[in-house]
Amino acid sequence: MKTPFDKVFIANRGEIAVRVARACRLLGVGSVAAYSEVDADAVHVEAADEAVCVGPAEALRSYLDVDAVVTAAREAGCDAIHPGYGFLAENAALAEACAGAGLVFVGPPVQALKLAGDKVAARQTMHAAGVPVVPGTFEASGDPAELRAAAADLGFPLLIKACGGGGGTGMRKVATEDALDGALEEAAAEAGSAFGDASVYIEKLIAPVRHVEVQVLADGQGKVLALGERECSIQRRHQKVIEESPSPVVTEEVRERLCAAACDAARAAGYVNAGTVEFLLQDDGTFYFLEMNARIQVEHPITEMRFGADLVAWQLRVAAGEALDPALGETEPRGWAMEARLYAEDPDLGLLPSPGRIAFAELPQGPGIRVDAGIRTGSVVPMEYDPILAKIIAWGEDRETARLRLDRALAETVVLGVASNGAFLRRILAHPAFVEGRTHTALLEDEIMPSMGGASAETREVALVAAALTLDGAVGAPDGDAAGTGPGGPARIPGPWETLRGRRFPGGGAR
Amino acid sequence: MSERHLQLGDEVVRVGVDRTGDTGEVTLTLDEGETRAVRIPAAGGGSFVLEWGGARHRVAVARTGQGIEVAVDGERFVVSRAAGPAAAGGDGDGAGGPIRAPMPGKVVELTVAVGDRVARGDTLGALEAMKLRTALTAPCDGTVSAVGCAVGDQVTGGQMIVEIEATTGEDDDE
Repeated sequence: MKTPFDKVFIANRGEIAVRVARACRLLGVGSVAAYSEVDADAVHVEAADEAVCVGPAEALRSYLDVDAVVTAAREAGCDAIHPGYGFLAENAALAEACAGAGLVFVGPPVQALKLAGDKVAARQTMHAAGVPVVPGTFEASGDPAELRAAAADLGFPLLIKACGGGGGTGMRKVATEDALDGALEEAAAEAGSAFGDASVYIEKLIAPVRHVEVQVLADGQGKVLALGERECSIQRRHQKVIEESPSPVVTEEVRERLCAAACDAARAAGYVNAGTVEFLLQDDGTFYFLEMNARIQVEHPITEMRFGADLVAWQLRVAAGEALDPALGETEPRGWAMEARLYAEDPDLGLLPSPGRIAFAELPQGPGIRVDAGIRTGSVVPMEYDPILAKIIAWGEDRETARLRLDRALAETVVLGVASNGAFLRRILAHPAFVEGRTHTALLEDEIMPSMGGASAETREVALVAAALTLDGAVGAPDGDAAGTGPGGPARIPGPWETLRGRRFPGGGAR
Repeated sequence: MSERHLQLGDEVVRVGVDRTGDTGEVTLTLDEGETRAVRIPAAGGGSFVLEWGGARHRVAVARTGQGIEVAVDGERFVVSRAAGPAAAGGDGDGAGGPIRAPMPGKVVELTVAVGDRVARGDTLGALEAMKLRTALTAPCDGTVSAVGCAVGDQVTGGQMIVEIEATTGEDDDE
């Protein structure tokens, strides 16, 4: 097989950089990892064939520095750059710089990137292409009188959104007309300071609603495929936490319409490569285009698990000009897949970020389990970047099997030294509304989190027992250090092998 | 027989460990509870299985700067040594004292200086880590008696950011 590229530069870090390096290896393509000074010993650096430092810890001067990335890629002799997700993915400046430097940008064409990033233009284009969009305005506006008139036509409740924004910044919910003026002012001020563009548009507020998205793959020959939907309604602060495929509520009839709309959207945008079209889905099967994600998504593995396709490998092949395999469009998806995002967030502190050094990590295994991790024992989780540690993905013949496997895998997952949301994820999986598939975008924050309990008394007791045994030297204490350790613990943090050296067990000749 | 106090969250538990028997059997007593045998039937790869109260649990332990960290069935606990039984009261809500960084991060805002008077709930500053900004607020009415860092500083979890001397007779105006 001819390899798509000689050497690909991976302009990212963590689990997605490891994922891209694996696809390169599959295709016989060389890989070069980018890393910042704080990431020199990171897992993704080991996953690639070579590694290049692109700058200091601060992302703006390393992973987000277009010049540094393009220069490093050229100097390393690469012929393509894969941006992963986040950082410079969806950044038209990187795509343009690649073209200027004779490098292939592994992603959509610049025009499609720009359209996906311009929310108002995307609404116009999709509306014109016959893709249903959320009712609302189709022009960026900074004129309160004009927006007031549009709001009166649309009715309440509604949502004000920043044209240049995303992630909830410059967004305001408006329940009634008397709250409109204040909300317009706030949204414009926030958008202006965050994006340098104070213009907004308004949309009807649709709630309760599900977030359902369709994976698309398009090649340069005009072929566009839809690889089913993913349900991503379990969110906190607009961040997805648990995703699954298929959606528990999407019928075959709705799926056909969703996939057709997604393909129409991709064609209208002139899209090539892997992308995702996000929709809001109501209980009656009505759906609306929300936005287009012009990148590989965090949650792409659940689609891969069901379709048996390597989406990142396809990204590379399509970027090199290869046509999609027609058989891919006829693949019948199998079973159910569910993904949980393991974040360095402390559930005991309201899910505050928990950067630090991982003293010990153990990742799950077993039937139907896939783990995409960017960490291991000894890894440093820097405070400068996203808190994602790993993705735990489970596949099963049906939804309940996938859910039980994911829960078991999370129970086996160990991260010590930094806090993680593992137990929080298990509590979501166990919640009756989730078990029954009654998910919507406010479910986690409005219903599951307020009723979430803590660890059981039994589990706490076991933790105390294990700690007492450790302090007593019965397990896990380094030789000669167990008795003399003061309240603050040892002055330095021992590695796990050190920690566990000299362990003796009852019955096996205890000291 | 050894005995020590361990702290887990707000709870302090007295734990007695006895492994004097010839068989190598270890028994534990938590507070005034029943003395029970603990068994560790399987170990390997850094974690082990611990049998306590008739059930088996997969456990992993690491000593870190925070104390003994223990993972049990997907939950993480931080256990530390306590000098003795829990003291009543302490620096709970409404008391002054040091306001510590709840997480490692960068100080991105400090709105108070030594000598400033603050009311309970006032913003004192903000920390940022992993793209999340967290505000620090005053737990009580009082006066700022110390500021432990400057804007732009990297701080560790638990580091003192601001110290507040609580206004005495704090219920006067309620």
